[in-house]
Amino acid sequence: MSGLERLPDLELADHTGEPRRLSEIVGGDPAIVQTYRGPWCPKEQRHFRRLVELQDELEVAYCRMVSISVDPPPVAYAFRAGLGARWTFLCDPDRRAQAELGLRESTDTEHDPYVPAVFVVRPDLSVARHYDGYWFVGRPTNDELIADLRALSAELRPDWDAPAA
Amino acid sequence: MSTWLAAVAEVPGGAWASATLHDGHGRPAGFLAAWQAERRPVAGALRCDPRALDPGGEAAEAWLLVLDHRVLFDDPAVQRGRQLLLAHGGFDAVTTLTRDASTFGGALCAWRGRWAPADPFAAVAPARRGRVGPGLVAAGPPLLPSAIVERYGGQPWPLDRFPVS
Repeated sequence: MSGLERLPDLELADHTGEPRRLSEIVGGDPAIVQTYRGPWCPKEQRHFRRLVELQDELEVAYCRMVSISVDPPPVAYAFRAGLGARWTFLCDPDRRAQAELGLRESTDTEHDPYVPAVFVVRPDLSVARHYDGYWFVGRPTNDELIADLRALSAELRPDWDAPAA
Repeated sequence: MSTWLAAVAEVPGGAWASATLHDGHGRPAGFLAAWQAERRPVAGALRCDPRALDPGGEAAEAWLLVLDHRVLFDDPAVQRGRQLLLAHGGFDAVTTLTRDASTFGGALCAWRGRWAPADPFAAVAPARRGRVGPGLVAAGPPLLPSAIVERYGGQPWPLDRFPVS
C-alpha cells in the first residue's frame, strides 16, 4: 500500500461544501488523517465509534483530526452529524485526491472507495506513522494513536518539558 | 498586536473597522467597532479573533454576548459552547472575546443565511440578537480548529496557532 512520506496539500470541499486545504486544517499541530470507505461499511462504523471517543481527548490535546472519503458533502455532513463528530470531513467525490494519493481500494469496484488508512502527520504533512486498515485489526487503537501523538508532540513542542519552578 | 472589539455609542477615531448595530427589533443600538492595537483602545474593548472581521464585509445577523461578570474560559458552559460551534457550524464568522488570558468576555457569532443558528453560548448567558451593518463581519464560513476547544496561549478561540514569542 501507500509508501507516502509526505501527504500532498490536498484542496477538497469539507462536509459543508467549503473548499479547504489540508495544511490549513492540520495547522501547527500533530494530526490524524484518516481515509475511510464510506458510512455503509460496518468496519468504518465501528472504527468511527472509536474515533468519536478519541475526539474528547484530542480537543484538549492540541492534536487535530480529519477524515477523507469519496462521499459528497451532503453525505459526509449527515454521517458526521449522526456520529456526533466535531472534526472536519473532507470530500473527494471525483476521486482526484484519491488518485494522487494512490489510495483507491482496487478490490471494491462497486464503490471505488478509499483504502481505509490512518496517517499520523506533522504540521508540514510529513508522515510520522501509517496504519493500513484494510484488515480491521490493522487499524490503530486509540491508545496507539495517543502514543504516536505523544511522540510527535514531544518532537514539536519546545516546552514539552514543563516549565516548572 | 491584538484585535479588539467593542460595542460603542459612537465610533471613535482610529477604528480599523466599524458597523452600525441594530437590535432584534430593528432599533439603532450604536456601533460595533474594531481596532488593531497593543493596548485596549477604549474602555470595554475585548480581544477577538481578527479572522472574524473584515472592513469590507457585508451586513450580517449576529448573536452578541458581552458579559458584565467574570466567567472563566474553562467553565463547562463555555467549553460546551465551543463544542456546539464545532459540531453544528452554521455561522459566517465566529470569535470569542477575551477580557484577559483566562476570562471569557463573550462572543460574536454572525450569519447571513435565512435561518438563525442557535446561540451557542446560551448556557453561559443569553446573547443579544442584532443586525450588524456593512463594514465589520468577515465572509464565511470560518475554519474552526478540527476539533480543538482549547485556546492557544490565552488567545481568543478559534485562533488556532500559538503566538510566536
